Amino acid sequence: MAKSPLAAATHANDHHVLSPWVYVKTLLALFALMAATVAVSYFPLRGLGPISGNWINNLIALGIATLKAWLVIMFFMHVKYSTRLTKLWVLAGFTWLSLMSFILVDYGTRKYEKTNGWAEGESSLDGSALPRDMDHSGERKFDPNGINLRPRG
Amino acid sequence: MSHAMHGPTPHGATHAEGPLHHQFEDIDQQNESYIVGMWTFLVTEVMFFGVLFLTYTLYRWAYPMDFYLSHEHLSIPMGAGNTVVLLISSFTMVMAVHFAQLKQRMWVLKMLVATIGLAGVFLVVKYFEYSSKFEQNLLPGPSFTMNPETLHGANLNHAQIFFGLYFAMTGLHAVHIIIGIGAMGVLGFLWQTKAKSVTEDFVPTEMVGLYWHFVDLVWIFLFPLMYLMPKPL
Repeated sequence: MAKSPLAAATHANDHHVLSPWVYVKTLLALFALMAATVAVSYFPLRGLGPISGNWINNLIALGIATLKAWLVIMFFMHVKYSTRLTKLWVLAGFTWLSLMSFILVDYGTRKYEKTNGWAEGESSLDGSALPRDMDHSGERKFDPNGINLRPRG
Repeated sequence: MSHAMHGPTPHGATHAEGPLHHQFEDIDQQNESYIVGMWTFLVTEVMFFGVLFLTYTLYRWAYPMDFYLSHEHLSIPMGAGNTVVLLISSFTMVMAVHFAQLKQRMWVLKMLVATIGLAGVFLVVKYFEYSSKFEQNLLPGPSFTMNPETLHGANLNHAQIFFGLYFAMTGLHAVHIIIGIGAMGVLGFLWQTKAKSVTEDFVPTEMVGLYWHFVDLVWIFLFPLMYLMPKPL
């Protein structure tokens, strides 16, 4: 299993040495993707049916960023040439990230909540357990977009 | 199967057998342990930045117009320039690792100096970006501008959320750049003084490289999210 101590010393770390061209090509691809992402951002795209163009722009920007990240991880960070354990670690980190982003489902479904808050007796508030603005005049000064309103108008 | 060596080796060093340490079976296992260890740290960094990205996503979802109006203060040329600078610095860093694998000390040092130099350029551009924000009173807090024209009509509090997140995320990123410069400085010092820990084994250089590429990764996501916002309908 192990080489002789002398061999281990002389062939110290014969790791997979890549040609510098791999790195040059990766860098050029990264530049191209960067130019693409800046260019696309100047053109708000038209939507497709129920999906707004804005949404598509965001998706493209994130998609290009993910592609750039993949290139950096695979080639600059040598993960493509790493062991499976290393690849598992990388996958674990980004899997965690996607799982955590499901927190947004909580905020997205708050308008469906029926839970009463502790402020039931107060007439100017809607009995919500959600953060309320402190302005009792009825004006939603701190929430003009109404994201905290139940039910949504 | 014993790796223990007693007395001077042919190279004149005692107990040294190249980079392989005695607790590992072979060099591949050692490499894997180092790399997985570094990735463990990077996963914690993913968690560190990930929550900030989540917060940003949430508030941009809640207040898209206010965020768009606030982001107009950010200079896309400076952000794009910084992105290019960091991409090139990632390249010079991986070349430093490459030369470390080939044990070409002078080239490693040149590449490390280039990477540190590019990181310095990034920080200088950042300095100009931040100072223009401070001049316009865009730092959240008691000095935050009340001028609606400066805010481009955005809600005062929502603009503060945007700038709070902007300074927190880019500031934290800049702190990581500074730490990276320090790490590369230490690495450069070790290479300069021909320390065996780096000359015999390329993996320590690779580990600093991993950190630097991670810093680049964060910026790759920060730039389009904050600087290239499409106008909400």
